[in-house]
Amino acid sequence: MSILIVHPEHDFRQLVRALLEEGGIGSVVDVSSAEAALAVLGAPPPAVVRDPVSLALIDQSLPRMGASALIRLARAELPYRNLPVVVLTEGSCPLSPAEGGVEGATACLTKPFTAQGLLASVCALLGISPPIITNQEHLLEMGEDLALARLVQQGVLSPPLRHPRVQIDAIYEPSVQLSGDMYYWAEVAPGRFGVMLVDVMGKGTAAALISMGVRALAPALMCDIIDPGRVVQSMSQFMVKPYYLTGFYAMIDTVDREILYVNAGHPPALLACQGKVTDLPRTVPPLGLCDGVNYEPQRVSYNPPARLLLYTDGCVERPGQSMLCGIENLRHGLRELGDCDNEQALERLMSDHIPPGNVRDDLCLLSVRLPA
Amino acid sequence: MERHISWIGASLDLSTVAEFERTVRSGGAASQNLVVAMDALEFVDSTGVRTLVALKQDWEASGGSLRYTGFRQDILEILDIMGITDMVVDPGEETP
Repeated sequence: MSILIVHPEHDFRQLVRALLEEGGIGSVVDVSSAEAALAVLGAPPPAVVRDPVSLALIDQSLPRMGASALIRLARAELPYRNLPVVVLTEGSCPLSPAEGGVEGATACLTKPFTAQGLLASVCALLGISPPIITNQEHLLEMGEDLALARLVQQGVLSPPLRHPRVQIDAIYEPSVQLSGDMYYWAEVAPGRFGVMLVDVMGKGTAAALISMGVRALAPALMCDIIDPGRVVQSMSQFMVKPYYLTGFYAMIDTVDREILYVNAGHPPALLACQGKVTDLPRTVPPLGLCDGVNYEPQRVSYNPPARLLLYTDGCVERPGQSMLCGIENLRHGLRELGDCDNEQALERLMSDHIPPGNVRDDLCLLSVRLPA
Repeated sequence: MERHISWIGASLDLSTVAEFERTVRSGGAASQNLVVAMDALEFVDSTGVRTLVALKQDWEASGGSLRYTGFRQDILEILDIMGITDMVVDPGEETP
C-alpha cells in the first residue's frame, strides 16, 4: 500500500512519513508540489512508485496549483478515478465546495491535528485498524514547535521600507520550515540606511539559530557603528565553527549618493543605474572560515534612479545549472526592469528570471529602489 | 608521503556530497596527506563547496593535509566568487 503526501514543507513531510511508515500503514512517497504529485500519479510509465497510490494527503495551500485542481487532474487518470484524498486545511474544513470546502476532497483534517487524528482519518479511508501510537505524537508536537519557530523567524524580518529616497522589499521562501537566510534593514542615521542579507551555510535548525543570532546583533551593531567594515568584523566574532555564513552588508548614503559595502563570500550584489548593471563582488571570504581578514569596505556611487539587488544562492542555483548562469539571468532581468516599483520588480524577476523548482535551498531576493 | 585519489563524478551537489565524502574518507586517514583530483568535476553548488571546505578543515585539524587539484576554470570562478579559492585550491593550480 502506498500513500502520497503532497506538502510544501520538508519537515512536515518527514514527520508524517515517519508516522505512517513506522505505524505500518504503508510505504510513503512525498513531494512538495502539485506538479510533482502529478508526475508520481501520471501515466504512462515510468512510474515513480511500484505500488499504485492508495490514498493522497494533500495540503490545501500548495504553491501555483491548488488542492482542488490537483485532485481533479489526479482523478482524470483511470487508476485514480476513486482515489481517497485527505486535504489538510487551516481553520474549518467543510467538505462542500459551496461552503468554502475543497472540491473533490474525501475528508478534511484541520491543522494543527494530532497523530491520532491523522492516523484515524487515513485508516478509516483505507479500511484498516489504526496502529497503537507510541512516541509518534511527540514527533508531531515537534513539528508544531518547528512551525511556531518558523513564524517567529519570519516575524523578525524587516517590513517593507518606504522613504522618499529609498524603498526596500524582499521575497523570502525557506526550503524547510526553518531557514538560514535572514535580512534586516534600518535607517541608522538621517539619510543613511543599513541593509544586510546573510545566508548561513546549511539548512534547518542549526542554520536558523545562527541566522537568528545575527539578526539579534544587527540593530545594535548597525546603529552603533557606521563603518560597514567594523559591523561585519564584529559579526564575524560571533561565528562558531564549523558553521559559516556568506553575507552582504551595505550602508546606503542617500545624501552623498554612495554605497559602502562589504561582501563576505556572497554572490555579487547587482547595482542597476542608468541602464548599466554593475557587480558588487566579494570583498572578503565568508564569515567564520578564516581569521586575520581585512574588512575594509568598498565604495560605489550611484545616480538615481537606481536599484540594488541582493539575493541568496537559492535564487541562482539549479540542479545542473552553474551559479554563474543564474547570476547572468538576474543581471539580464535587472537590466530590463527600469525604474518600476519593488513589488513589480520582484514579481518579474521571480517569474521570468528565477526558474521554479529549487526546493532544496532557501531563497531570498531583496530589491532596494533608489528613486529619482 | 601523499596518497592520490580521483573524484570521477561530474557533479558535486546535494545528491552527490555524501558519496564524495565517503570517497575522500576512504582514501586515507585525516592524519595523512591526501590529494584529490577533481578533473572530472563539471558542476558544483554551494552544498558541494561547503563539503570541499569542511573536509579540508577536518584534515588540517587532524594534522594531515588535503589538496584538491584539476578544477575547471568555471569551477574556479565559483570558488573565487565566494573568496575561498585559497582555502580549497592547491597553490600550484591556475587561478582565475
